[in-house]
Amino acid sequence: MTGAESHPSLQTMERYLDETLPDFEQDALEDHLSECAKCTETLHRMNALLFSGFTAKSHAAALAAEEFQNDPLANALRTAQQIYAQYASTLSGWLDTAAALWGASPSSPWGELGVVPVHSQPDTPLRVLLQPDETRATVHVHRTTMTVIVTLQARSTALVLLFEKEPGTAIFAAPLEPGHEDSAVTFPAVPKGEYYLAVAPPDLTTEQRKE
Amino acid sequence: MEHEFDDLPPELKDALERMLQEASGEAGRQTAYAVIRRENEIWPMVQRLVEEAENDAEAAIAFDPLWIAIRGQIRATIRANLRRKDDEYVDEIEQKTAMEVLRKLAEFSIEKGTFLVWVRGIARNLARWWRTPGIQGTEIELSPSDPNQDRSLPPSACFEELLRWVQEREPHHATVFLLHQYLEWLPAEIADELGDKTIGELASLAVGEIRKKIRGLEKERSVFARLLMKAKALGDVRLRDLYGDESANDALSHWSSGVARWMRGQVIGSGKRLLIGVCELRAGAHERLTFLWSRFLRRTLDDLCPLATETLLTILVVFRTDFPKLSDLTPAQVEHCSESLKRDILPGKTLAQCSRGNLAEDLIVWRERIQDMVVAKCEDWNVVAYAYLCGALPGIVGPAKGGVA
Repeated sequence: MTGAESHPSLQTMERYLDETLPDFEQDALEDHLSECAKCTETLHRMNALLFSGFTAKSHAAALAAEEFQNDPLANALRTAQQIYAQYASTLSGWLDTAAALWGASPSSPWGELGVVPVHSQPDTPLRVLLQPDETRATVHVHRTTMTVIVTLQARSTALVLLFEKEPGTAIFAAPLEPGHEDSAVTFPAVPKGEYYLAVAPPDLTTEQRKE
Repeated sequence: MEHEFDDLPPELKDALERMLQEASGEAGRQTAYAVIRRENEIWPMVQRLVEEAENDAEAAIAFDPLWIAIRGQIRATIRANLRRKDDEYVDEIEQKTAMEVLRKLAEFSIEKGTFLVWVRGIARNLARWWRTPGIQGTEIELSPSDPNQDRSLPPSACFEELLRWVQEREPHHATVFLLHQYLEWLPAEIADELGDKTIGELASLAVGEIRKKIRGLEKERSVFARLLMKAKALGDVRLRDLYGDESANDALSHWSSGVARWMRGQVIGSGKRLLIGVCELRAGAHERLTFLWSRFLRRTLDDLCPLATETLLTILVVFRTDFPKLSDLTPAQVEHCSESLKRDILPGKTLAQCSRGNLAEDLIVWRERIQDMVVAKCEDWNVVAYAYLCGALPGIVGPAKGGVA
């Protein structure tokens, strides 16, 4: 077992992890591992599932990771990160915060506090009014396309993200423009659909966004 | 090959004999020959070091060239046992190994093993000791329970599959395994706190604990229905009634390790079903072959490119020849399992003929396509865990909270 081509069998790897392989065969396997990334990976996988990793803690961590990866906000942010590369560092930090919020209230991520009134009249833009401490909203665009104006009742240059509930579909991101007492951002021509709206946490400064 | 070893020093000849008796099959025998060949190269230096063991200054002079000759292998052992990708701590443990070797030199005896095997044993113990949480005040390998670490976890479907399999075992063995390995209770705790409980009560307790810890485990009642039913069928039998002649600790440890070994055997042995499943997929023969090459033979796709002008049938023959060495399947079984793939191969068709121009890129696309099909199907085949082991089922990458996966 000296070359990368003669890989050890899974049974040999199992005996290695079980510490029942003769010493000299352990040595040979370790020599092989030092030059074979594929077998090293296989060994790590075996250890992670069948040896020290088969625990309720790992199981719970895997479930939590899967839940996070399927999370609509996390997915939208990942997609947005690819589209809006210039905001990558801000969105990455934002994703951390969003995930933390998710962890804090997993059963009701879009609870009552997240839903704010949406004012809409025919032929007028859809207006979303956010209180200074509000960071989320659900938005229903009921015509073919609409202009969505988000107003935050505080001076801020935070990023606002508008993304469809269906993962991987339409995503809009733009920074708030601070006015005299509040801030606003306009998303023109948003297509019909159900959207989530999220505002970057206040601790993300303008300097961070410029990175 | 045996003639090559006719001129060995008698000590090494004896060592070879002992190793051949201990070897696991033909692969182990070949390894024994390779180890003795290597030991023979360094043997004069080893002898000199052993002769100078009593004289520190001379021993140090004899030690340096020997260490230079073997340090690459020592470091391989350290690295493998630290289970780290980088070289942090390797230098430090190498140095500790060298000092330990010099300190214990008088204990070395070729009758217990070759010099290199002895030194690597010391390095292995030091690396494992180093890896153990708490001992060095630092935990090298991050705990799988830490959701913020950047590591790959097995998909939850793997855990669920294994939890179902475990229930095939006797209910008291399966329950103790769940408490000991999965819920991380110590055998002594189980014996002290639960020895008087019936197996039915014990199983209910274990399932309840799991339910508390695994919030997302869907339909946990049905996941453990088999265990609960079997445990209940044992009636009033208490845990302590089943220890037999063993102490409580020994019995519980044996039951738990027995289930763990059985479970591992089940997973590793399920490659046959995955192989049949992959070979029967409705996809191009070249795609399935590429997948088998990468995931079952553990070879890189770069190694497949030079075979572009070979026929698919030739590549299948390579697979059929080499895969039995990596599995517990016989050549005849591998041939039987891959028969449906062979039937789909057009005679004379080469790998290059299947490509649209850039074979290296196509190979990746073909492998990923089959991988996607495997991921979608493998729960039907009930070989989720094996698919994860061979790399066909991607791990859960990234932290549970924060960061971008």
